[in-house]
Amino acid sequence: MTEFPSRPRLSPEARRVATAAVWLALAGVIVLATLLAYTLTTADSGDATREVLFNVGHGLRWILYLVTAVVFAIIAAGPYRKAKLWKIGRHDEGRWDRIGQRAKVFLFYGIGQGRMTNDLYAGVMHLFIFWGWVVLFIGTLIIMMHADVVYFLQGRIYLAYSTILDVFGVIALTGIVMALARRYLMRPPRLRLGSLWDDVALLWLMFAIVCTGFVVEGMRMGATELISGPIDAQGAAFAGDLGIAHVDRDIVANPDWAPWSPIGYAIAELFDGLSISPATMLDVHKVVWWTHLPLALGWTAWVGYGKLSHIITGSANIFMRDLRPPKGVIAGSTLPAIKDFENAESFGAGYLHDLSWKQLMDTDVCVRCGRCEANCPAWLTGKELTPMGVMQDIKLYLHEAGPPKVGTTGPIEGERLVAGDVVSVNTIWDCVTCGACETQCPVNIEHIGTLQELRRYKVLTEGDMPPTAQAVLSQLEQRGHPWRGTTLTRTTWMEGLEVPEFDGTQEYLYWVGCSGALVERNVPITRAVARLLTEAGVSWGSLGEGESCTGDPARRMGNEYLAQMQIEGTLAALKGKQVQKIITNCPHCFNTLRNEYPGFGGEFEVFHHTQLLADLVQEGRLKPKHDITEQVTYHDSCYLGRHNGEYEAPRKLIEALPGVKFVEMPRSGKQSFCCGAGGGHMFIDETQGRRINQVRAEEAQATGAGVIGTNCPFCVQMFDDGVASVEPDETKRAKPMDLAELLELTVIGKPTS
Amino acid sequence: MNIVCCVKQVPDPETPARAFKVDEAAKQVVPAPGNPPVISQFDQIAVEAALRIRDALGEGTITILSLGPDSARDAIKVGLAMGADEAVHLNDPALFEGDGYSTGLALSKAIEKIGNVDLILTGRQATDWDFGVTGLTIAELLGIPSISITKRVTASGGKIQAERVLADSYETVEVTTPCVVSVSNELGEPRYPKLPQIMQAARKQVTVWTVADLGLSPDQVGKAGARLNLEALYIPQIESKVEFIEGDGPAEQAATLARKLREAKLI
Repeated sequence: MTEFPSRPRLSPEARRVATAAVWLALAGVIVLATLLAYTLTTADSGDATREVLFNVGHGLRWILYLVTAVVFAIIAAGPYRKAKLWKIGRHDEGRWDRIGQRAKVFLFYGIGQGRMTNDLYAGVMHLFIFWGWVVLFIGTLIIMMHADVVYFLQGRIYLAYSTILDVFGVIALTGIVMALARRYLMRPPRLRLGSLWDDVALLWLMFAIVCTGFVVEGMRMGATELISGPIDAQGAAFAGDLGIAHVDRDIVANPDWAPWSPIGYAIAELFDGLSISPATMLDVHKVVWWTHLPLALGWTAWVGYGKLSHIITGSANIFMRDLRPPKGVIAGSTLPAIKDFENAESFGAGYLHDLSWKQLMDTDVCVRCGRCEANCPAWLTGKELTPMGVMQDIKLYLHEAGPPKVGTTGPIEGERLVAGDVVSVNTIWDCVTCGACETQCPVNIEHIGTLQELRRYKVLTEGDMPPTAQAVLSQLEQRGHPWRGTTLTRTTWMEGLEVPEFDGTQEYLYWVGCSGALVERNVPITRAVARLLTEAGVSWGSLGEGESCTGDPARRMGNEYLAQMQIEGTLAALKGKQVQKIITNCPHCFNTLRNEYPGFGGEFEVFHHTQLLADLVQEGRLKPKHDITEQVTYHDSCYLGRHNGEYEAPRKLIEALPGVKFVEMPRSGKQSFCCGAGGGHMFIDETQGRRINQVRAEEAQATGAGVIGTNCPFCVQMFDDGVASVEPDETKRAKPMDLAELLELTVIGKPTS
Repeated sequence: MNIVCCVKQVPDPETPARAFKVDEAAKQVVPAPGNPPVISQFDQIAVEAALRIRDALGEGTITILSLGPDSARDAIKVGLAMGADEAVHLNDPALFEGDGYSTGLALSKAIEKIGNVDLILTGRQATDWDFGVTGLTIAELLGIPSISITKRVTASGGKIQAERVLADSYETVEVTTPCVVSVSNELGEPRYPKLPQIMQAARKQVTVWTVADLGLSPDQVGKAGARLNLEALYIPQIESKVEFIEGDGPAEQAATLARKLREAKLI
């Protein structure tokens, strides 16, 4: 349950290369088939075509169109009915702006399936099914065009078309077999929520559709191309009705066309080899065609429902992605503000109708792929929280209690609270807001926002929270920092250093933060940054006692009221000193100042200290001199990494250390495993299971590194505690150090006392 | 049932030692920058005790009473946010810098003026001076019983029941109203205020009284009326000396230690 990969997973680069190769191969099939058709074809290919609605009756055309229309109506009814339920939620969210940007997002993550190959096997499997199905569907559209609008599928175009469809049919089948193998043989734990309809029946249905399709083709070819049988080449029927152009001629099928439909050819040969007569093949063709038709139409109608509707709702969800955070950053980095405190009776989300329509839609979009759960540090350490579970639990309740709520406001008789009942209290508090769920979700579900709304309800409306959360919130409110019992003040770290007081004339404000000033372990890091800034000749200053909490811990713990009071206070202090550029010590301050303050009118240029220090080394203003002959590993903190997309600058810093050997942890970059301190959990006790920080410390220790490089005051404390817990032998322990401390060692030589 | 909760705003007892300064000439604590004053911890618990009684009875009016400068409003707001109904603020420079007696006198007059009070709840001691006599003084001056240092307070049958904390046990006491009860931390954690209540509290009226409103004269209250004379206020210098006992192994070190203790006449 708490194992991590003992060898590195496939690296992100390797995955990207493999993904690109698959895309190229898929495109290559089309290109190659077309090339071959235009170079290899025989003299009689000019006529090559097939009879539309062969053997089953040309008159079926009208019935087919009618049935198709009915099928599309059935499809539409699905999302239409679900949308009625989503509209039970709050309407104050707009996700229709910036259509151009949304279209690009959809192109990359939707059509491009950008996140699917985070799991390479599943990603390739999905690419096969996706493109197999799309090409076969386009194939059907082409036949329709040919049959009713313009007769063009003949000759080389037809042969290329035939080959492409056959190959993509095989690709689709391969994907489906890969999926079946996954469900029945490989059985990854994250696929634990399976349903008989969506995950058994649907897969076998798709398998049957492709197989019957091939048999139909084979039987047709056995009665035509194999034996040079007659076919009625007809098409452009509508055009014919309009008196423009209708084609209807009798031709003889040529065996040379057969190899261009390799699978159909093989099946025809197989049946022929079993001495099955063309007459019998015609009978088989009819039966299988009339099987294939309802299966295919049934599948198509299914697109409006169940897991298959991810085609529609998943696409919509990707399109409606939260565009407030900067590019490449998860939605959960920027929490929405409560606007009205005065008049509301309840805050946060208690009941279904307190969640926004988008949050309710999220629950219906979830296809139970489990990638969120498989990366969730709470779940992986044996806690109740699973993001997939949260989505599914709310979804089930939405469908159960939702219908009578349509068109009403407020809770109805006997309605259960989502916050605490449908979603358990432990689940609400287990979340460390690490963002792994949102980073992995292929359909852009925003789990953190929903969990935070539930938390806000517990704290603001019910005043109910774990005792450790209550203690630190009281502490934050009374003293403006979360570190109860500290013996330091906000200026103690300055002793013995030349620290300029920020007065608006300097270029950068060095925002030290509560941890950097008040926690003994973090003071050396703060001092290291200060010394390095001075050494590099940067124009900087500090606010000292003028600092107070940025509001991040209160916000993540659900107390939006306290957070906004703190935000307003800090904003006033920053604006009062005409601050424009800020260097933060801490990624949490960094995230809030950078992503959340603009929503309150505070626009600053915010840097994390590793970013600025990396730049200074790059520019030669800081010169690494002394060797660091250590093996160093690096922990991507959640709030610098997933929340803000910064993975490069710290690595550049490490690589600039002379003599260093850098080793990555198995889970790094976007896949980094949280230290366990986010979401208020630096202060809130974990509910059960193993401690997250100990699991991550084990992973760091196992790299064999002597130093664990960190960038966050929470992470370094978590590692100090974690490493000591998992490695009793002091001499074998890796040493957690901030990158600034390492840089200080190499540039200046030693830390101050 | 009418309950009055006395609350005091004090300098933050968790001010880090290095930030805590005293003006020895003025015999006053220097407010530490970055360490705003807080409500006295036991007083907040007294408000919690009042709320629990009201919850159990299903009825009751809780009034917060505080003597202090403008900043004491914050302590009062805490009580209102937790759920108290009204507040009275004794805000007059003549009232300040008193001792347990002169402050208790002012508070007792305020309680008389509020009128019809059944129960007065206070913290067992204020977390700045820790004297623990103001509540008892109020009772003495009003001529009513007081029960001090309690871990549980209930009201039933027109009487007050309380469990008093003793060194290694507790005793249960019953008393008629009106009375004064002081509470200790064993009573439990003060509830976290719900946001709708915080918003309501901001709109509640706080009644402000001066010395004249209390029917007292300035020489009876505050510093003028105090019976204690503050001789000196200073932060003691603590020195410590450490000697590491050397020796070859524990046995020798123990022998050396024993000898040194003997020489120092400690054993």
